[in-house]
Amino acid sequence: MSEQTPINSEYEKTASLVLEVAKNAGKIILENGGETYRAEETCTRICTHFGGKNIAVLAITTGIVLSAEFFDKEITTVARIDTRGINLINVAQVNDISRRLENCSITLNQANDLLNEILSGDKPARFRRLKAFAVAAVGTGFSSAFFSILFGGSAPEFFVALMTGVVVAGLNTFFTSKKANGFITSLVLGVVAALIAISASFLFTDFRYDLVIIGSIMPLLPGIAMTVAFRDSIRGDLISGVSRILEAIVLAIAIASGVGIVIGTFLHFNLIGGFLV
Amino acid sequence: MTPETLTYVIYIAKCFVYCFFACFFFGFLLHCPKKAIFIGALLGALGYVIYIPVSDYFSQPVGFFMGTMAMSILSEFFARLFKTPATVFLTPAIVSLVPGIGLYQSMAHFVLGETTEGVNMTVTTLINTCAIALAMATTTFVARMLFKNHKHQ
Repeated sequence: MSEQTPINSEYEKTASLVLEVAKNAGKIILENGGETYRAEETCTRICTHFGGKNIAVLAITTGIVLSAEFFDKEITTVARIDTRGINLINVAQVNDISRRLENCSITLNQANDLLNEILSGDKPARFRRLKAFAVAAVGTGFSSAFFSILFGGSAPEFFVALMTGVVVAGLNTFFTSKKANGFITSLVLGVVAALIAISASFLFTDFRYDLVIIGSIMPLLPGIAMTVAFRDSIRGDLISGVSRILEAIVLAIAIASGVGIVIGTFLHFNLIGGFLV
Repeated sequence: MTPETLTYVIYIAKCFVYCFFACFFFGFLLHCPKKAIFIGALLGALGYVIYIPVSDYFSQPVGFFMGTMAMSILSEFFARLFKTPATVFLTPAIVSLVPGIGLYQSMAHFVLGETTEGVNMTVTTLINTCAIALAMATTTFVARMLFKNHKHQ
């Protein structure tokens, strides 16, 4: 009869904690707009630092699988990634935590607590949700406004784009809080942005509504996601690259359709001048 | 300096300022950490200001490539300086170059029924995106090869 070490020995508890920390680090990076290779590298580094062997990480856009061998025993863990946003503070914080782990300036348990704090930080109280909306509104509004000016607008375009950006940000926060479908959300946002821009063109003379539309859809467009997708493909993470490209294309089509429907309708009834493309 | 170059320089200076603020507020939207957001916006403005003359002189993809290359190299430099991942500086910066306007124009042509121009514009946008991605990828990998023994980025 062979002797078997008890399943919850101290060594194995530590090993699963290491894997948990690595998995959470990778998950936060992927959920907050980090690159795929960054997530894989961070996981590998954390596991190597604590003595893991035969580490294998597979990070794709919708999940992460991590397996490592500690004390001749192989453990595996999987995490699913359901939503992908961009929150660069979290990416920077995870990078910082993993640096400090490697410098041995924090313990494994402290790192675990910090990561769990970041993970659970997405269930905001009423005040935090308002603050999140304020940040989004200011960011979207002003960036739409300045993009409209950058592409050749002037004061009326600035203010209309500012207003459009704030409305779009508000609707976006509302839809994401109700967990609506991303495609439908982008479609509706495109429609709303185009409607506001075209309505404003009736109020001002010489109003370039197309610049307002371009400015206000810039924050919505998955331009960043598309570039990250190409970058992942070049690096060789083909599954990740293809899925991101597909997501970006779908969102771009949604927004373009939304804007196109409104503009096409107005054009059909000859209510506005032709495109100033 | 002839009047035309002067107006061109003033135009570029205005673009720099508008692009700086656009990238700054975009970084705000992306929850960029405060110390990185100024630098990210500066890089974005710089990239756009490099893109305009290069694309006027050579061609659009080359302009995007050069602009993005400048932004990536500088963001790698700042990343090592501030011990923050390069993405944090690069993401608000590439927003200025990313082809949002190209997508809108492709859609506009399709809605108007001009299919050939629409396809033309879509392909142009795709090529531009490839140029941007190539510049980013090249810089990242060259940087990682050169600094292989450093602590991770």
